[in-house]
Amino acid sequence: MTIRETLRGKHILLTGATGFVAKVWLAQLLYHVPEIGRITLLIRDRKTATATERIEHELSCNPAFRPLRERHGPDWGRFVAERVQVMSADLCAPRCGLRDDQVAALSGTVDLTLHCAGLTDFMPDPLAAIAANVTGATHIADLVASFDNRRLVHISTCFVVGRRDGVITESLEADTNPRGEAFDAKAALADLVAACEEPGAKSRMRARIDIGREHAEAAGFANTYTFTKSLAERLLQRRADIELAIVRPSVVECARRFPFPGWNEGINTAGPVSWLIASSFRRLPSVDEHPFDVVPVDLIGRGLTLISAAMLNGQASGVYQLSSSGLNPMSFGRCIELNGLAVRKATRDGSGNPWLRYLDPVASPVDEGAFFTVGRARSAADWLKKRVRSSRPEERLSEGLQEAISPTLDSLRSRASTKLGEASRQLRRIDAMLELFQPFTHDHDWVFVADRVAELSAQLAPTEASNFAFDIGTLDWRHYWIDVEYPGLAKWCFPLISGGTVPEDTPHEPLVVLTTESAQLSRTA
Amino acid sequence: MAELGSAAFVRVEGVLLGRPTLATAAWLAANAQRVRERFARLGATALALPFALGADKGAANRLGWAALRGVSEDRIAVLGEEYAEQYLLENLRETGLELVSQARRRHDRLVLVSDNIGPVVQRVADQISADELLCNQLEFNASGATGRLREPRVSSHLSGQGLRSYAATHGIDLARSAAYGSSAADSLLLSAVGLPCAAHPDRALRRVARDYDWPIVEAR
Repeated sequence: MTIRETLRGKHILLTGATGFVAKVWLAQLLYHVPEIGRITLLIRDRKTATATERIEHELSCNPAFRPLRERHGPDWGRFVAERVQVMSADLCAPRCGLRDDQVAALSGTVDLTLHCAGLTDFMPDPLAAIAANVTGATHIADLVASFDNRRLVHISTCFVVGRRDGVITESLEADTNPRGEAFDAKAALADLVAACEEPGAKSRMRARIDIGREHAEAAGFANTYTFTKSLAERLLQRRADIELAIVRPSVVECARRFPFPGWNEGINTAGPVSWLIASSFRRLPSVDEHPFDVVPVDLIGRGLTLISAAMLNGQASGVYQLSSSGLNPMSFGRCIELNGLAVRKATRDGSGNPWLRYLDPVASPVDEGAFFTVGRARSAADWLKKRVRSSRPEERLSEGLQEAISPTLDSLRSRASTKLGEASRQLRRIDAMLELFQPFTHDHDWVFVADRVAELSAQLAPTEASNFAFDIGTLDWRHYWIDVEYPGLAKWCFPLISGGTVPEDTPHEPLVVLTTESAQLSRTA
Repeated sequence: MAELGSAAFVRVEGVLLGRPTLATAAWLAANAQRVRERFARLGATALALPFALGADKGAANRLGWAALRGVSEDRIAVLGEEYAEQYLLENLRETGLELVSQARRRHDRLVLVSDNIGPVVQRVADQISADELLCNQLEFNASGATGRLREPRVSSHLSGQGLRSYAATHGIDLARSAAYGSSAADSLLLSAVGLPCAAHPDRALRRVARDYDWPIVEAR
């Protein structure tokens, strides 16, 4: 059966639709499978906007939906309203905060649930990460367990593998942690919550962040994000009351083709790394030969569609990795060189800093004994700033001379102090970024196998391969990084890192207006 | 039997461009990834200079390409294009372009012949919409360029046998075809066609052209 036939008339429940991956998947699904029956979005209300207002804004202005707006023109609002409905939900509440009538309406009609919502900050407040990544997943599973069709696709991450090297297979060893020690997810979760609620930590977020990191590292994970995602996987896998497929994307990056080449949203892993090595920072702590596992977001979307369709056909369960290192690896050394070449290409017109143009970034293994480190450079900048501020060499001069040159010296001191302060802040930022990303850029030699999604791709009918195949094997990394990824990051990500904003599309006219879920549900029934 | 077509073979070096092929290798060497590597590679390229000055361009080019051993395919591809844009496309010789236009008016198949490498000279072929480009390709392995050229190579001396084989494969009548060269190394190419032309020739080719009564086009 083809993907379109499988998905025709189906009702899908989706969480996290305002996030990067789910938004692209939603747009791809509406674009390539217009015969989909219904997509119900569970979205949280915010203080400033209701769930419906939030998604209506995305549908009207977000570039992810541009191809759909262009295809349907003035009919876009009607097209989407016929297929998409929204429910205000709170994944941290039991049954996701849905009313009884809402649950009852979903229970008999939902064919498949896709749980994309989560907190992707690497070092968040662990209580927030637990709420979003663990409790949210548990509540969704509870909800799905009450449905007639108990199929759940849970989006996780390849990096739940933790701090171990080698070939990572599509499996989950639920009883051991990455260090190979016996591990009980429920107990680990309880320990973390208890530690965060101790008097010294309860009211101090900084202390909780450190606790989260310590617990993650003790269990063999790189950070709180991957730790909590792993806890969720382990807790879900124990459940016998749902049909579960766990999907683990690796580093999700700019779109290869859909919605258009280069589109990206927010700050993902490669953005800061690329920004760093496009700045005056020339030596990224990394190892030339280690693979950098990057997958364009639209290929992640294709993988999700393949797995969803296979699940609807009763052919999918277990763990799926959506990764590149097993099928078409790109090493860190190559990525860094491509980034340098991309900077050169982007500045062929003479724009940008000429020194940076001709000094290529390189991979540089971490040398613990190195004298010149970012931390030391920052300390030196701070020390120099103090000296500049406090030094008064003019005091040794006569009063007349002092009066004459003091204004000039004060101005120079002020300017130098400001510049050194800026340099120190920048170095602090770089230091923090390096610490955050070092597990992914330097410490581990991971090869993530993605054979299962490749098998699903191979079963596609030739007419569907161009829209649905997870064809990472044919990706030309040179073209992708230089002509798609780097320009995409420069437009959609670097401004955010620098504290700026990125453009939205002109609001679609007429604005998309979604009807209430009860009206939609009655129509479905 | 189908009627044979005619072609115009244009040697890129000398006819269309004044820059020697060795300059490409030197520029690529000077733009290696690491600064220390740049000096080492440039030094290796400098070893080719005596051969270039001693009129053994083939040996000079081989040494130039050898200096790029270990450079990645990505770097050669991207910087080759940059080199072409920065130094070649703006400096195509007017007389060479006029000869290309003449060939187009005669409806000849336009074939560029170059001993430079594909990533560099392809941009030139695209710019003048050549029908075909005969050029060299660097050989690569997992560690980058091997410093050697892939077969078949296009040397500064294009053999008559190679040309005849090309003509037979593509249905070209060499007697009705034209060729444009600028150095003595192009003598074999020019003598294989019915319409040879020496375009801004060096001293040796000028002498050959006069001996054989080939037309000579001077640079403007």
